[in-house]
Amino acid sequence: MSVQNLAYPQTSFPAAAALSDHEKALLAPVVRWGWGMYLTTATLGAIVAFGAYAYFIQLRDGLVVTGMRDTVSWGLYITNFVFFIGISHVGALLSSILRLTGAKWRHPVTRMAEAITFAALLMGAIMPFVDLGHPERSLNLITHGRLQSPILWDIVSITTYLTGSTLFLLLPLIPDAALLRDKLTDVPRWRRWSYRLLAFGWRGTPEQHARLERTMNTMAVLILPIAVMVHTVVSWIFAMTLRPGWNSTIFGPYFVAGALASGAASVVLAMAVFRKVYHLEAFLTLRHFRNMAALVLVLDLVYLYFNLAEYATTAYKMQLAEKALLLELFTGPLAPLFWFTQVFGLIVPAFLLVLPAIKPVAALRRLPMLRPIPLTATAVTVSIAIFVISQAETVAGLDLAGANSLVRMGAFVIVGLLVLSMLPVLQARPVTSAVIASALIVVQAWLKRYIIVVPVFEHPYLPVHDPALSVALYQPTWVEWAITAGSLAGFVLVYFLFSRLFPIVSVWETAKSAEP
Amino acid sequence: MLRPFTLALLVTVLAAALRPPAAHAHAQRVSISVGRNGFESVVDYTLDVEAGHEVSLTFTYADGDLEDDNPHDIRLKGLGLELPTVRVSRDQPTATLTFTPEKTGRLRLLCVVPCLGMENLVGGVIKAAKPRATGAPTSLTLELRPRDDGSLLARATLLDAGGGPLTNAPIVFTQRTALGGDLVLGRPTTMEDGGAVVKIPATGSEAIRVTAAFEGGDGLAYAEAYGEITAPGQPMAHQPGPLAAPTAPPALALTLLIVLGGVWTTYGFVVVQLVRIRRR
Repeated sequence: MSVQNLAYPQTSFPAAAALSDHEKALLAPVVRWGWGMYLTTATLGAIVAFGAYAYFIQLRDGLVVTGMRDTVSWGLYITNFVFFIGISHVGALLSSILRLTGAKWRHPVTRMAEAITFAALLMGAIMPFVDLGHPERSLNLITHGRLQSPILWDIVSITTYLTGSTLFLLLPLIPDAALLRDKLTDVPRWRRWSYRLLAFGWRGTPEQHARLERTMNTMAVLILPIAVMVHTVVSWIFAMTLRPGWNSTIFGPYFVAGALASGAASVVLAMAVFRKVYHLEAFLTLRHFRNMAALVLVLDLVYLYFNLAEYATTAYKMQLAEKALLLELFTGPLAPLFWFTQVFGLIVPAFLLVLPAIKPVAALRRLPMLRPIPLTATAVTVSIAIFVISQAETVAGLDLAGANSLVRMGAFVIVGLLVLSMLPVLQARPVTSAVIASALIVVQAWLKRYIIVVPVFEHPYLPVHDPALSVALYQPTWVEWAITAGSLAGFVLVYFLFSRLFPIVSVWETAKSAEP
Repeated sequence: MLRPFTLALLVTVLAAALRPPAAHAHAQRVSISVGRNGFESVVDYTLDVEAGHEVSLTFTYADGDLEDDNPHDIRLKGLGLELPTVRVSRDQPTATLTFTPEKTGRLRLLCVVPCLGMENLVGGVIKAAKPRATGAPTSLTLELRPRDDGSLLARATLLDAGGGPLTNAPIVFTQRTALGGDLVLGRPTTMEDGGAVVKIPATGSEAIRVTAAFEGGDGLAYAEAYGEITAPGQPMAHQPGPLAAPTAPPALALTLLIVLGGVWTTYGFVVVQLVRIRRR
């Protein structure tokens, strides 16, 4: 990538700011705060406020306002906790591994990943406290904590990881903060003060550069094992408890693999959004998406393998306690969720990610049946037939009772044809394909955490004596959904505000990598 | 009516009706007092009745000491019976529910006052057993004996009216559990001397209540015997694993200290570097 060859979007800056085209392109979202920014902030802030109101209700009335009871005592909050900790892994993965291996293409991506880590950890760390009816009792972990308790390990490791991730985010931010300190002179005082503080007196001397590089490399070596440790410890909270579904030796790597897959997928989503909204096409090129798609594909397949290993071994033995749980997942009420996570959350994304490399797909364009007009005509005809048959058993004296199965089959064929017709379209749009795959993986990640946490509580080793259904089965309440929505909005808000305060693509690193 | 967490069903059954020590009588009339206090005291409550015989439950209001009226709505649920909900209150201090369980199984005594989080609170369980056989009288005796290995031996002896042993007759041994259930220990058949034995595992000095029952049939009457014994074994020694030990295993503490100490020391190094960057 050459700085001279980049097609930068045209932006207007304050006259005082003497910025290069490269800097202008990357600092545009930081400099110009338009109505879109305020509207987004207000919308996300309103959702966070609604979540905070729901939490106030929970604090006032107790956990009885949630769907959690004695039998199922972990629900959406712990699901969110594991989900957020999971996607936080990506900062460590991308920045650390790519930095240590000297992959230059990483530069436009690493800060996005590191910021995801920071924002996700912030929200993830809050969730266990939200899960407590009396959050002040979390102090008991400090005053009465037992060193041999996985809960204490969890608190310690997440604190350690949050601290490390913050440092890891701050270090490469120093030269950019110095740039903002020097160039953005007409922003509010609190911003100037923040940039000055985070610039750490940076003047760009060779000695400062050398020291910064050395420190960043040290953190890159350190943060990776910490990230692995954190998610292993999170998995141990489950695996060290004697419950069907959690009594597994592979939970550590299983969780780490899932976390990495969802984290990498979330970066692809962030890349796509920022590329579109902040006009970063010159920096986030097709090459970046291809590289990230390859990474997501590998992690997706590794996680799929762990899923197979986890479920195949227990399902083959079908021990009594595991049986009820597995049957609920495979064929019971949770089967749609479970199979969605496996098929649409892992297998379909893998296919979408390799789609650009499957050459015969392009030939589908030539099939007459898959041309837009015949396909649309067939789809409309079948849809009308389905509607008519669903409305009446006879039409014009014609008995339609036997036509049901035929029309249903026709519907399946139409859906199949539609999917087939979409394949060449997606193949020609690898970015769209990678984004759809990543979105599916992220949705899968949340649903999978729910499947790991909740059904296990509904199938304890010790049977519960004649419980009411409201106690035995978990049904999240509006309070939990509101807090969940608030936490997701909070995550996006923190991430979004970060991208408006600091360049989401590292200015100094991309400039350095563009040097001949 | 709506008093979250304070309104609960207290069902107190006359002790004699709870568990008759000998052959069950067919008169199934039980008085139950219903009050506000917690249900901890009644979770082990189980009432045995016979299928095919009329049961009459009389509920009595026990919250007369309260300033306000505290009515209780009670329903019996199970075995396909359609029974009305009965209410006891200050104005209506007693209510009677009469029914005949046709099937064997369990009926649950529910408090249906919709307390928040405690809807359909189970206040007790009524077990309907199949009618007991009648015929030539039989006698069943039960002997509970400690064994050298700390376990117990339960021996039931079944004799006919003339004192002769009854052989090849199934005897059901059950043990009352802490939550009021009956754990079937075994169904051995009687030997030449009319005796049937089961070994009962016991891990500590706990009180164990065992019932032996002969169901009768073939012209022989039902017979039942029960006994209680405190298992002689020493309480099981607490053998905590490393993670359940009262204090942290030194190796674990040392490992955590080294790992976390190393990580946080490196963080310290990073902060020092930041300070040096600032000074340069």
